[in-house]
Amino acid sequence: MSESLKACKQKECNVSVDGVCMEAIKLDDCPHFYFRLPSGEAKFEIQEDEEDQEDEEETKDEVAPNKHDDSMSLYSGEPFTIENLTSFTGGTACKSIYILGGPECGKTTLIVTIYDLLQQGPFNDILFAGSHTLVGAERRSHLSHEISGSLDPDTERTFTRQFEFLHLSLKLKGSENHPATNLLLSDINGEKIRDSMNTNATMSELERIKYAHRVVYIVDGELLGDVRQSLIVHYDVKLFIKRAIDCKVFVPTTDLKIVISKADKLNDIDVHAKKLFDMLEKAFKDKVGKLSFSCIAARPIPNKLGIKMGEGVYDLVKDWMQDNLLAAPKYERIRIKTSNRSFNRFTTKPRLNGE
Amino acid sequence: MENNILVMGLAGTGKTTFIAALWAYLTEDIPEKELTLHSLVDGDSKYLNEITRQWLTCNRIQRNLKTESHKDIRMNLKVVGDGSEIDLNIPDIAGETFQEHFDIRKWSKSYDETIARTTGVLLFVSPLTPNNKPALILDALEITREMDENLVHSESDSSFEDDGAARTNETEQASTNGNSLVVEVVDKVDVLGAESFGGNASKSKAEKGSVDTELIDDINGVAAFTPYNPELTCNQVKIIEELQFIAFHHPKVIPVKVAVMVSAWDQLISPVVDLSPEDWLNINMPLLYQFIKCNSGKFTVDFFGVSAQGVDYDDENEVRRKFGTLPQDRIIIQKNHDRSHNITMPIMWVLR
Repeated sequence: MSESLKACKQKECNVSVDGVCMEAIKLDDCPHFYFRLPSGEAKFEIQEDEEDQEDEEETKDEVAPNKHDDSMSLYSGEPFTIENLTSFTGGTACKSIYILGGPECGKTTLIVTIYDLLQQGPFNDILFAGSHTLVGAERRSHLSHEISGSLDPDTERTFTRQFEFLHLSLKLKGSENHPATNLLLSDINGEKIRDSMNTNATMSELERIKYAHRVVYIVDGELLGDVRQSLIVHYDVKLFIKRAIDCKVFVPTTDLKIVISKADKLNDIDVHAKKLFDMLEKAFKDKVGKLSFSCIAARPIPNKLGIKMGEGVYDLVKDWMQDNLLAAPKYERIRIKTSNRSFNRFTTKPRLNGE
Repeated sequence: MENNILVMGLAGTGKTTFIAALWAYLTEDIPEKELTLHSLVDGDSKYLNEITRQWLTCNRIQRNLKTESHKDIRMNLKVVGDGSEIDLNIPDIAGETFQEHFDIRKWSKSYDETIARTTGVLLFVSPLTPNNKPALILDALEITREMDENLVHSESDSSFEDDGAARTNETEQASTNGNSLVVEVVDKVDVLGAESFGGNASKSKAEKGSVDTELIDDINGVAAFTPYNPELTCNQVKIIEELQFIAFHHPKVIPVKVAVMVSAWDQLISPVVDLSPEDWLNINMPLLYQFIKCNSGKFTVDFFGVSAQGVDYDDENEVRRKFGTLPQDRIIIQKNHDRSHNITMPIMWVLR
């Protein structure tokens, strides 16, 4: 085991340097000792030799007895990726919510706000029933917590251009004994959204959005308030939606909501919102399954107007928990031939999100 | 049927003090006992005897004692009423490996085996541990803004110098009323756990009045930025994850009974607010409370306020007064709004 991977919760200990516990305790017995990857993540490193090659195939979500010590791996708590999503959704019905929009328009802040509000108590009548991606949620919300040492709340940029999904299991008050609604929230990197406006090839990389339960396109309210920037905002959102429709990323069953973020920073919001919404409704009303509009202030600056954290977000989340009333298109259902030894099955085209 | 009860909780949540008080109960000649000790699984009671001596003499359990005890403790108990046996498992009395489950996403095979045979859990939480729920920067900024506004208003009030004493008295009265209100709110917050103001929940009652001042200092001071580290995750999230680990990796254990043990309960008892342990959890660890309510099919939960200490060890007069009473009468167990000295109550509930 590389010594650089040894670590200790006690900052004064030099075990990472010299491999020796400062309390002269055997490493296996020291309650502060653990292994950390060079990236900073705390994990167990898999040895690179023949004996361990079969371990490489174990997923993070399996309890993996380790051959070199008596520990067993637990599921990672990190956001799901395309590769491991079905290991979760295969057994759990989920609703996928794709949150789109340009860089720094507030996509991740929206998700973080929902999580932070639940951490303080029920979100009106919406209750937290669990999450298998708590580590991912904590990492994203860290900069909004006092423990980060930040003086102003912030949100880490979403750097990855791959699809990642945060899981939230929610119930409504009064329905605590009913099955939960499992949401998979994906906030896609803003630069990727911007790039996808440019070519069909890059837009097609977002193809899985056509299976979404809901799509939210966030428009940065702060930019809408600037005369020049608002022209770009109008242009970009229209361009994105048009190309998404052309590339069949948005389909006749797409439930699309246009959301103006940072509404607390936008003067005359009604005027700006009406202008944008009228333009989009005229252009796309009959091109997607459902088109709707709203404004939110997920993290308003403290103000005398009494705009609270999460203003407008409750209605969004409540809507996400509703069933999708748009019927699945007929082309999605296919019959799979089976052998005489098994039951015939009629099923849909494989839905990548397990919907 | 085998009864295997797991004692778990983060570091500093009162497990050791409870076990010390329980060991005293089991080994002392107390009338009308409900539980007796059948055997200690590894036969070595040195650690238990040592922590019980500390408990009897109202001394805090030494940290080196806790870390020395990183081995499992297993007691085999017998119910006096029907002779049934219970295995009480305390695999991590220091609570530190519990934290590591979240941080490094592993647990030991022996812990895994303990989980696999668990039929009930005593889950310890404490109002004295910091970071039970996250303090939001936005909330702190809002409080500062409101305080700044109040300051502006009170400054403009005191600028009226006409009407002499009458007006001055009025202002003083208003100020007094304002201060009274602040003290009352701080009292309630302290009773409730002092978490929501981001203050240090371990403050003694004498320091209550300074909570808001320190909060302002914290906001205005230069704080060192700390990048994300799983260790910084708040306690309610870590506990939820531990329960999810149990449900996900050992579905055969589910449903399981969980007695939530809110420790240091003596410090939360107040004539001002008649709080139940469930109320406390709802206010101070709301995410965990929601999770429990939404997962009643997996976890059958009840809530107990527990004070195995029974007294503030820093209060010399109170400690001296307690020496005049029987040790077991120091113990406070509260279920809903009913209190007793019966330390076995949570265990018996898990058994039923």
